[in-house]
Amino acid sequence: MPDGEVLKGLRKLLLDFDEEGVEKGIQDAFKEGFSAQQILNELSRGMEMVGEKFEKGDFYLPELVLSAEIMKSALNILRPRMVSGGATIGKKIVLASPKGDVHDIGKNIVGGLLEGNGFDVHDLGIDVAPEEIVKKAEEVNADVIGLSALISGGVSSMAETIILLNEKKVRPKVIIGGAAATPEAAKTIGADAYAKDAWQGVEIIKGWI
Amino acid sequence: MKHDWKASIERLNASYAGETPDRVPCMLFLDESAGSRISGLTVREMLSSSKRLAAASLDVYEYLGMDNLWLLTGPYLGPFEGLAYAKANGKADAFVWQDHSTPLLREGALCETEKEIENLQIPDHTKVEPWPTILEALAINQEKTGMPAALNLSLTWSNVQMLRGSKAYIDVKRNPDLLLSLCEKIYASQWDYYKAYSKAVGTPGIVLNAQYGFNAHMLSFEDAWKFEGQFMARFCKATGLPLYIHNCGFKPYWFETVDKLRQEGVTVFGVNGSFPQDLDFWVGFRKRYPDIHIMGAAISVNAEMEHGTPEDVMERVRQNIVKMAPYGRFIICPLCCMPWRIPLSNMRAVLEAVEEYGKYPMTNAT
Repeated sequence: MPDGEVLKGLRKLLLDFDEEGVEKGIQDAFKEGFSAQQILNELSRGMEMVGEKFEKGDFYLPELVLSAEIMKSALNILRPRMVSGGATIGKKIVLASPKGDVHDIGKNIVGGLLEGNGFDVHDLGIDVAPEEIVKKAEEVNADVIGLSALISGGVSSMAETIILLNEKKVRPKVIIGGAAATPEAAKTIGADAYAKDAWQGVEIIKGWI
Repeated sequence: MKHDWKASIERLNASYAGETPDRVPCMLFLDESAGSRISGLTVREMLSSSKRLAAASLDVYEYLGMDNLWLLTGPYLGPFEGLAYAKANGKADAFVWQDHSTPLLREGALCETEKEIENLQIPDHTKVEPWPTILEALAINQEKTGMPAALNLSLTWSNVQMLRGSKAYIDVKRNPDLLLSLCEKIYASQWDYYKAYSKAVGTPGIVLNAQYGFNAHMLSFEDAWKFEGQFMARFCKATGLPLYIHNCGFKPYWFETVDKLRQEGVTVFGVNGSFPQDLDFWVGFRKRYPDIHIMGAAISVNAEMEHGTPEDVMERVRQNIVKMAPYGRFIICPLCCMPWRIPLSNMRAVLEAVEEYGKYPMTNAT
């Protein structure tokens, strides 16, 4: 019977942002006989706790970004040994800063968190034309498209992307965020959701999956 | 009819001094997209000469009828500081030009590695364009209208994000000394700009600092102070300039920031923000700091300005006037910069509302 303390220790290591400790802890957990899925579940719970602390104002963006980086490293170790994926494993997300907007910090943060949660993220980068976003979504059979805009011209480009998507037979869900996006803007342009911050965006997407 | 700049100057001066002006002053700041739409010029055309930039800016701001005069290419150390950095470091192609909206440096393109931070060259603001053009345009319009130009800095977080990109957030935890070394370079660059500004436009009477680190959805207050606030305080103490704080984030640390700056010996003259959107917060702010000027207070560009009708905008302005104007030291100013997607009729509605409800003594607003 594996000792559960090793798993609980992993969660603490994540909350302490100890990347080396997490990597070592994963190896220890394997030695103790835990499966990759059990380890992932524990780390995912750790990520949820990071998110809860972020929402409560105990953590800030640096903690959110760093924990996502650590989770990405952890997933690189866990993925080859996973017999079956978690709910999010293999789900495809296309991310972009829309045409006219070259900001990508917010998008990168969301991308990191999504990858840390096991999603297969296709980041198209910045200043991406609506046609390019739609083409990529079709190509990878995306489950969700995430668009982030810091300047309002980006919202117009988001609107054009959704108009193009609506002409397709299969339309992935679209979530928007960034300083120029608002719940009103999401409603106006026909997006499926608005996220006020990176963490909420990930939670909404997980809810869809 | 040409704008009466003398009346605007008197109105603003009365408001700044805590006296009663003829009516509540009002301001809008355009971003390059709105400026391009009204002027009909591309951004590069605007910057093609200082005379052209000055004339187009004056035309547009006179058309809007506000009490402020800015430039169509925002003269704060934001996007165009990115261009200057890109040129000074031989990477002008990292700057993405756009015809009808704000051109921007690709975030993280100049300081991706520690070596790049170490080797980062700061621009000479008297020589590296577009600053000479922008500074000369400020001087031209100041001379023409009598409206004093303003020194607009960005000490330091927005520049950190622009230069380092999202890695900056990891550096906060893992490599704060590296990040501080970048902040020091940004600080040096802003000093260089201050000197160039003083030479071209004249010695400023106040500094408006655009600050973004001081938001609870971004950094802890302690980290915001470490990577932004301490530099603001250093600058203000070294120059003796009073500070007008611009913070257009969603969760500003207003009280903590003002109190800490005052503890450090900085004269906080005013605050410029639109969040929180709860007007009662701003009434509380006014009571807590009766001597601090407020340019705002709760009109967001992403709310009524973008999604409402002119009537909605007028009503929101009226509510702001009812709550804030009786105390004085107040300017109506939706934030942040007016972007694309805001109907011109909604911009004009701000002025209409101020004319309708904002005249002292107040009778129409209630």
